[in-house]
This record gives sequence, structure tokens and C-alpha cells, in this order.
Amino acid sequence: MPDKKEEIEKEQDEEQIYTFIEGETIDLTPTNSNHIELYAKWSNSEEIRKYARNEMPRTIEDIKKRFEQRGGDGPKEHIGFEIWHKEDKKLIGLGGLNHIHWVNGTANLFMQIGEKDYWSHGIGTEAAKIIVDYGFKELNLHKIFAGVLSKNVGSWTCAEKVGFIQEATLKDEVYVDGEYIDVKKYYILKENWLHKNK
Amino acid sequence: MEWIRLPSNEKQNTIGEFLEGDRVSLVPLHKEHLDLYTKWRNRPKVRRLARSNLPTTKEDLEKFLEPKNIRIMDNFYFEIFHKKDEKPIGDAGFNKIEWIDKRGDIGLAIGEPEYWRQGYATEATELLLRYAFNELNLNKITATIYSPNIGSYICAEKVGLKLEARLEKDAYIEGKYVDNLIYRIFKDEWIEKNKTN
Repeated sequence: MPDKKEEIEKEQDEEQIYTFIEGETIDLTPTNSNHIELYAKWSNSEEIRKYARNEMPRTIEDIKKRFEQRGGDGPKEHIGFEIWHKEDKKLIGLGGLNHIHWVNGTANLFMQIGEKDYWSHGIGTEAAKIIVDYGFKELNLHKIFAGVLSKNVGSWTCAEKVGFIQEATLKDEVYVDGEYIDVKKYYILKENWLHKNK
Repeated sequence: MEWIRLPSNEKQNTIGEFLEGDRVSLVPLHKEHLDLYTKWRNRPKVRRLARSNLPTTKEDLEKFLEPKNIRIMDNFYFEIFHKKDEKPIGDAGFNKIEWIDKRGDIGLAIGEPEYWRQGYATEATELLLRYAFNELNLNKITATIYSPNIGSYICAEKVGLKLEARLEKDAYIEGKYVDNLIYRIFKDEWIEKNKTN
């Protein structure tokens, strides 16, 4: 029988991961208040926040408050997940659905791969596919949309790979790095998704 | 929209109609009517078939009226407002909306017995169904009715709800076990019914 003390130490060493959806290279888990510092780091990193439109500095307390407020009454309008790399056992980003409107059955897909080493490996695409599938098959949504900055080639290539269709270009919608740039609006309907994945 | 302001608290409807019918409207709950709601909830004749078996205090109901900052709710009620008599006569609303399943369970009570058996519940239910299907985009509405509550299931059948299940000896009312009837209507059934009418 293993030493009880040893066991406890081992448990504290190894963090419990609550897998919610299992993918091939990644798993999605609930957000975790123990990781607020990492979320804050991503939120403030210049390279990461540039296309995510985080223009303001965020303190740990700001991020904490944002997470606490989401636990209010009523149906959830924001469902966020952590993205874990399975093989590396590493938390690499966040993604999910926000602005959920339960009457219209619409939601916005958001995603942030905070660990740069994991960019351009198709991880965003895999995560997006999992979240879209969850939105349609588990949440019974009707339409999922995403807004991508025209300069953020990685993101819109990913959106198109998932099956998103461009429905509009918002001219000079955001101001990034000293210039106005367009935002490409993408959507996918439940019927598109189910048809594509038949 | 017509705004009604009357001196007596019980008669006040200052918010305006939310859903307007011929004889009654569904309006948001009024905090000033809390005494009235508490009276209805405790009134022997009214609570008997609504299965309000425990006394309800004013504080119990106050929590329904706490200010909420929620865009989409899953549990809310309206006041049934009598247009001609300019007073609230009951309440109706959603006990629970399951947004993923697009299903809502409705409840209704006419708290003033002198307004019973005049089709007010039917009219209020029709307003609720129109709202549920046309505005809220729900797919299925259920109503839970205990078998001695004849008035309620006559009303349910009149507006097009169908008996879907009977849970036998499911509730204990006035010394005996009675059945619980689950009525339902789907959006397409409701559209079909209102086409022919």
C-alpha cells in the first residue's frame, strides 16, 4: 500500500484535468480559476492580443472578475473552454462560444491559442471544429458566426477549413497597428455543418 | 400603446401591455402587487389545484421580483391584466424554459375566483403560446395538470394542447393520490391550428 502522504503529494503535483470533449491532438476542459495568471499573460501579450483586440491592460483581478461575473443567474451566454495539448499535457489556449442568444439560436465563436509554439499546427482548426460541433449537436444552435481581421490570415484560413462561409466585410472596422483594417464576417448554419459532416 | 394609471395600487398597470389580447393582456409583474400575488398563492380556492401546499410568505415571492440583469431568462411570469376592469386577475408564465431543447413548461392561475369560467385562462394561454412560438422560437410547450383540475385541461384542450402522458397517482391532493396529466403542443401543431381558425 502506498504511503498516504506520498499519495497526497503526488495529487498536488499532478493537476487534475477535467476533460469535457476529447479531440485527437487536443482536449477541451472547463476554465479553471487556478489558471487566471496564464489567461492574464495571454491577454496582455502584445503578439497574442493584437488580433484578439485586447487594447487595454488587464490585471489579474480584472480577469478574475470577468470570470466570476459569468457565473450569474439565467441561461449562460458565454461558454468558455481551456484547450489542452494532449501529448504535451499543456494548456495552450482558450476557445468557446460567446454572445449566445438563445431565442435566435446564434453564438459567436472565439478562440485564442496563447502559446505561440502551437500556432500553424492546425490546432485552431481542430478546436474550432470541436466547438462548432458542440454548438450544433449539443446546444442545438442554429447559426454560429465568427469575425476575423482581414490581416489575420491564419484565422480566416482556419475558419474556411472548418466550413465557415463569408457573409460580409466590415470596412475599416478596427484600428490595429496604426491603421484601419477590415473585418471578415463568417457564418455557418447547422444545416451546413450537418451536411458537411454526414 | 395605451398607458393606464389608476389611483388604487391594485389597479395600476404603469408598464403597459407586453402581449395584448381582446379582453386580457399579459404585462410584467408589478412590485406594488406583491400583496395581491401573496393573497392568490395562499387563497384556499385558488391554491387547491395548483398544489400550493405550503404557506407562501411575501418574502418568498419577493425573490421573483428582484432586479435581474439577464438578457434571456428561463423562468418568468406575467400578470394577467383585465383590460375593461383595469385590474390584475391572475398570473401566467414559464416555470422553466429549456433553451437547448426549445421546450417550455407553462403555468397559469386566475387568482380572482369571480373571473373563473369565463374563458380568461384560455385567452391568456393563447397569448402565451403565440409568444412562445412566434417570439421565443420554442418548439414544444408542456403543461402539467392534476387530474381533478378539470377547468385547466378543458382550457388546455381548447387551445390545442394534447394529452401526452399520464403519470398515475403522482400527486397527493386532499387526502388522495391523483394522476398528473402532461399536456403538450408542438410549434407545427400550433401553426396548423391557427391556420384553419
